[in-house]
Amino acid sequence: MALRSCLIPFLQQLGDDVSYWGFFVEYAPKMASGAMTTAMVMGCSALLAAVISLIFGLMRLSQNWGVQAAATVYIEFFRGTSLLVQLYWIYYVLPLMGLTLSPFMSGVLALGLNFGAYGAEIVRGGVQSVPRGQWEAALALNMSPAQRMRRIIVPQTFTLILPPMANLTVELLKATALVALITVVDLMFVAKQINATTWLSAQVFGTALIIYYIMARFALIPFLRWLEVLAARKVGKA
Amino acid sequence: MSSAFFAQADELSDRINAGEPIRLGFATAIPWAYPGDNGEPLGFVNALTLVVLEEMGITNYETSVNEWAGLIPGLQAKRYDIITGGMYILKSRCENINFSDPIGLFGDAMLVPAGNPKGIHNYQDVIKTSATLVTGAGFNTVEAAKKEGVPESQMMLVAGEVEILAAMNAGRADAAVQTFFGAKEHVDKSNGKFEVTDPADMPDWTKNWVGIGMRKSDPEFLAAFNEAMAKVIGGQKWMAATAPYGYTEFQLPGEDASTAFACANR
Repeated sequence: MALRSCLIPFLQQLGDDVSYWGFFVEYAPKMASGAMTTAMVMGCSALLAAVISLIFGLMRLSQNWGVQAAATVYIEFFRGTSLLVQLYWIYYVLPLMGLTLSPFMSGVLALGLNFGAYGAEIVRGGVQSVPRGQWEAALALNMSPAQRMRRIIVPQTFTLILPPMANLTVELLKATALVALITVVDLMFVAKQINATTWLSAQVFGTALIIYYIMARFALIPFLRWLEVLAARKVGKA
Repeated sequence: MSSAFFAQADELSDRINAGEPIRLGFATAIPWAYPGDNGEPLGFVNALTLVVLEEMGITNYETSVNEWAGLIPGLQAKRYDIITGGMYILKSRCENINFSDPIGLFGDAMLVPAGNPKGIHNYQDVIKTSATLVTGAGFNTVEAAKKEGVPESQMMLVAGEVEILAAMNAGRADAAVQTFFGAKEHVDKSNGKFEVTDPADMPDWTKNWVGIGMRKSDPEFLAAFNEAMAKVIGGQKWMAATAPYGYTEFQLPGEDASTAFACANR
């Protein structure tokens, strides 16, 4: 009931001035090209975040005091400050220090560094959750620490970290909308531009919501599920 | 071809001489400056800038569409080379960037609901009626409202022109203050829901000149730009390029207009 009373004004507005399909036919190609950019920002930053998560997650577990401290400082900094501020900093401030990255690169870097910091903590938690017995068994088999990590611990870690990582990746997809603020022509940027010239806010942002949902629900999540199954099969849990 | 203009070259002139495109930075503020479907530069400030650049022999350009409040930081970060957003020449801005000679003289006005139920024509009326006044972050009107004594609690700052009309449409503010041109554009879009007040009702000192923003480190380019502009301003090409956006001879800056005066007094 409450949902219906929320939706009705929205749907009415959709039907109002212009027919929604007329709008859709005219602007779908532009929004689709924006969505492509969003997918590229998302793909590149997810890759960067994954690499960073793994490296810094393992560094956090290092016996070496210096390595551990470096990882802690990195994670604390990027997790403890605002993503939007980091984005502006890379886009507006780094050039003053002589490093000018393209808007696309700035966006990917900020998102990758920020989400990598969260991911590193997931990796650390995952490694620590591998049952004690597995560590001891590897030791009993006379494996070196590196062998133990590579052959026993890390493969089992994947099954543990993939569900929370999938969560983070969906979050990352939606966070990519922030790159519109540093002139990357992504889905959000295109939506804002269409809104600025047509004022069809309900149609534009409604469509953008649906596109984000479709990207998350029908492309990203099935892919991440597949990865989870794959990882489980590798360690004989499927 | 364009190299003739630059006796002593700064970084921007060097770039242009090397055949690289000049990059225009602006926000979405119809009819001042806004992007077309493929990012092409529309609006009268862009249009007249292109006339001047053509006079300089520069026809190779790119565009960058930004948030209004990000225009000056983006220029300083060398994200683009000149600001064609339609910026008033203000003292606070002159401290950070250079401006070309004025491209016109413009005034602000209030956008109010049709019939102006609260009778708001200027900042003093806003204070008297305790109305909520919406404007854009980084707009000249923010400083003007402060100088006129509008308390911060009555001010609502949004990201730009688009959000101003959205706030008015949603009934979140009683009045909006923006350029007369911007307000007129909003009236046309609102199907009679809003009206614009007479710009003459606004304090006289808020009328101001607009210039093209440039980095302080590009003085030779600025000089060359001004020289070329002096030849075309108010001419047939200039007027024809800007007419579709509502710019008329009444907006021309006038003989005694000077950027130095605006920098010192506005």
